[in-house]
Amino acid sequence: MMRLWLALLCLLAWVPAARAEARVLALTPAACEMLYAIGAGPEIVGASEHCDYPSAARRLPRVADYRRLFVEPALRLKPTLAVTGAADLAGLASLRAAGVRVMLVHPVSVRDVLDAMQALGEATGHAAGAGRAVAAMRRRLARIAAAATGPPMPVFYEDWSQPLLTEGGSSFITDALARIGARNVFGAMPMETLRTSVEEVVRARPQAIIVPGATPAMLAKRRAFWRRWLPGVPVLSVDANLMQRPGPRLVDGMAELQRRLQQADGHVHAPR
Amino acid sequence: MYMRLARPAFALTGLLVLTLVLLAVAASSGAGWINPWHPGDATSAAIYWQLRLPRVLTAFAVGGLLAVAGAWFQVMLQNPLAEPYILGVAGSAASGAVAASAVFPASAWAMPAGAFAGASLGIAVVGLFASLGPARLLLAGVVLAAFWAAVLALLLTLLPARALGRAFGWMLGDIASSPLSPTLLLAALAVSVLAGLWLSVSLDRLLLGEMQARALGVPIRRLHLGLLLGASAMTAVAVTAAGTIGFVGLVVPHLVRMLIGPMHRWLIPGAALAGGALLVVADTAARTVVAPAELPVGVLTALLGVPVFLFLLVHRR
Repeated sequence: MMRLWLALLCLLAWVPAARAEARVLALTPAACEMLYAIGAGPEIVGASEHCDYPSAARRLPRVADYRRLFVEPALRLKPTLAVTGAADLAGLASLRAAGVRVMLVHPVSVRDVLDAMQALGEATGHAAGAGRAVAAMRRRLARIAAAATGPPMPVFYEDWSQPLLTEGGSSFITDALARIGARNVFGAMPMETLRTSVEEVVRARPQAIIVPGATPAMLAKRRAFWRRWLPGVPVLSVDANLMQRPGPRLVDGMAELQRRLQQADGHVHAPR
Repeated sequence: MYMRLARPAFALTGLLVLTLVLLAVAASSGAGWINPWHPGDATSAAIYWQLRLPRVLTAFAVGGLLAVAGAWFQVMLQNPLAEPYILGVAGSAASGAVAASAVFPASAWAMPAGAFAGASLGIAVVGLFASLGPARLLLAGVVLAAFWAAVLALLLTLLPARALGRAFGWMLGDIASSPLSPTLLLAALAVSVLAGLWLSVSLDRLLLGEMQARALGVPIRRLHLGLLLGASAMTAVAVTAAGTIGFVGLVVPHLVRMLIGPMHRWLIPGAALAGGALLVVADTAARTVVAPAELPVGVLTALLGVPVFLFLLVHRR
């Protein structure tokens, strides 16, 4: 009888522990993609406005935009973990005060992206899934590294045209560019993003200009603009959702950009 | 109010020479010194004539417009703290720019046109209160500025983030991507200086107070309305060109009064030169001190202008 009671007691103690799985708020699109990639998708209970991949993410309740967290609807979802990209996101303090664990994921290199996925795996009980996803990314990165032959190609990465904004040395994009065989011409600046001028770009002599997320019309405009200053330098685009999100699809963006740069490079240097 | 430093004509000539030298040095400065007559290669020549010189002239014209507008607002509102943005014109311009760029995201002209339309609306609304007299007009303006700030905040919250990127860039203040040509801006500055000279006697009389000015035959109501519309239009042009740039319109008129006295036939051209020169120096510093990165120019107008202003404030009482 005593044994039965003990067994029952153990069962009662165990059941809630087993059922108390993580309830996660994914507060950046990259965090959202990472969580799905490691198999923690079912545990996401709320997301930020721009979480749109994979398609299941579109159906998540929205509890934040890029500037702030909507505290009440977020707490109503009874989260246990919030994954954010910005430590100063308005409303995070209230979340912490309510006992929610806040994880800051702000990669400044490709390696950080892999580490963040592993850390998320451990925090959500999906370490094995994270290990598999990270291993797959490592294989892609190895293939990308093998394809990056020759001296690095100097490139200008145009985040914004008016004012002219680009990425600096503490951005994961500078590292991603280095891994595909390109060199960010402003990669030596310590900032994450910086404002610069046409004159400085011209002086930096890039051999390609990358305009992430450009529509064909926008790309045509930027080509016409840069042709005046850097004639013969190819202006090309890359899917911003792949390249600008430090998540599992970053390797897709890197591979796509590497291919386009190599095509452009072959085109430019073919007569030589 | 102030002791002047030197004879006005002498000081103004000095200011003119200094400004011309600064313009020439600023246009040649950058990642490498470019001599416009011997640029070395075609790229350097293009950089000088198509990038640096237009930018320096734009900065000069915008700084001059803001300083002259500030001087007008200060005498009209009879308040030394008046500045071009005090009546809410910048807020209404920014609201117009944000709204227009969200509605017409593909049009290059949507933002400047929206900024100008918004500024005109702001001016029209504030113009309704022109007859209230300086004190109440100032109050109305400050309240309207708060109203426009709320409209702007509402737009920024409700409109989709994608539509706002351009507007954010513009609101940072960016002389390099002004949609208005430097020639147009310089013409606007010239018109504002000539108008200021034409009105200078009336403006001097207004310094004595409204009663005295009226006794001396100044048509106060018409003058007020003219100053309000004129100064607001200058502000609108400056804001459309380069976004909101603080400090120049508030402090440069005081600076010039300290240097050459309060008489408007000297003050107005002096403010145009000094405002233009300050913004040229600030913008040149903005694009060179952390090169190849750039700083927002508004940061530097205050960093450079405040020490000069405080020095003069202490030493020229």
